[in-house]
Amino acid sequence: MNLTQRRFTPEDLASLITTAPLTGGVIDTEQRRSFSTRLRSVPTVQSRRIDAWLVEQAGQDGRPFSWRPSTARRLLGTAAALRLQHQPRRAADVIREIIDEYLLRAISGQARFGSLGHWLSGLTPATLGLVVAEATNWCHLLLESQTIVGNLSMLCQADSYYNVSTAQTTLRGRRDMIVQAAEHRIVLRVRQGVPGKSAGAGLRTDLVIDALGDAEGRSASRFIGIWPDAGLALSVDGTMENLRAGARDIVRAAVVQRRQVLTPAA
Amino acid sequence: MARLRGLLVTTALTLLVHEQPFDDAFEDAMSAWCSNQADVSLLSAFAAADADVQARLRADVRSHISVLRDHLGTFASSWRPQTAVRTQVLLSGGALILRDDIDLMVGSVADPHAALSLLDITTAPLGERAERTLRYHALVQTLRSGVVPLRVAMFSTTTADCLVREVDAVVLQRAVGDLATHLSTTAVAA
Repeated sequence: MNLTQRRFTPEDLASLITTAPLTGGVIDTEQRRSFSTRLRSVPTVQSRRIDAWLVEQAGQDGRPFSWRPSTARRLLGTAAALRLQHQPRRAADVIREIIDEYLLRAISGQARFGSLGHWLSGLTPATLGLVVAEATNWCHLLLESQTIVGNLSMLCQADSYYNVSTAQTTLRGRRDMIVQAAEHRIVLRVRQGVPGKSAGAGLRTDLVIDALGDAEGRSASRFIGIWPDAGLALSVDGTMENLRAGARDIVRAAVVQRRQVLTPAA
Repeated sequence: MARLRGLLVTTALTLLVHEQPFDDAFEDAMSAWCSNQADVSLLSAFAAADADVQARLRADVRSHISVLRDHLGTFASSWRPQTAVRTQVLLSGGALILRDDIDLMVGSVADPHAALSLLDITTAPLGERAERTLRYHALVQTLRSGVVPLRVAMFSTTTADCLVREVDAVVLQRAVGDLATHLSTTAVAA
């Protein structure tokens, strides 16, 4: 379960990419079934979503999610970065265009309550300005990170999701870039702040969800987390050992979450 | 209230850099800032303050923002302006953390002809500590990215003074000296 730490520089990233193992682990049908059974054994009355953040917090839910300019930035900024790759324009203009599309959907009644479009439709122009600013920052950070990672990287269109059937559980694995080699792939995720003590557990969670989201269960040969704010990059390899550890952490987070629900509030 | 004033002026900077027009500089900065806060303690303090304090803060913030608006100019998208950039550099295996907040960063560390410039906005007049602060910004940014910024600047929204420094090896060496002095002072005090 080795966690490799490097500086976030073009040379160090290139070294992490070129030294990645040529193969990754594979989650077969039996392992998938066993994992589902483990999650089903942790009952829930309502649907639950587990991601690397929850695992890093050891299953302890913090504040409930709410839309804010800072929580909307990744969705909007990534969408803008994807468009900017095909059509070089001002990032802020592209983000405004994307926001307009959300607002249009909200006005036409297609945005459900609590969605990003619904939230955006209730904002003042100044707050929308801050949403644009936050998303522009993310967009620039992502594109700059991609330049550092190198030309072989592609921005991801979406995160990886895996729905554990009959366990009312959706797993979400965040990912921002993929470096696709002939036989294997390397997945990268851009994070803000500094890596904490549980950063390795978070990376392993994203690694296993990415593998579960793959139809054939093939894991990335290396999963790299980059923290531009700290100038650091951490990576885990797609070994069976790491995949098992990631799966165990997910089940553990579900158990802690369940305990929290059962514990009466003081 | 001084902290809230600083936060609102920084929020206004973010909006101005991304060309968001203001109807009312204070109200717009306040509504934008509130939308990004999970912790409402500062807002509660403002709401609990008496009308005179609130009015003074309003006037103060409007004045600072107008100075900012008059002097900021526009930013080309190719400069990749980023606002409120937080940096945390871990040294000595995490035993020492250098934190820094840059109000505005233009340029890219990934560009081979990097011309990274950092701007710090302050609502106080530029004092003796401004030089040291600029050196610290340059050092932390260099440690983070491995790229030496081209220049660092500090702008006071009180006096409209701007201190600009080109960054070179001497500046970085002095920043290391400042840091070493600070650490030894802290160690002696402890």
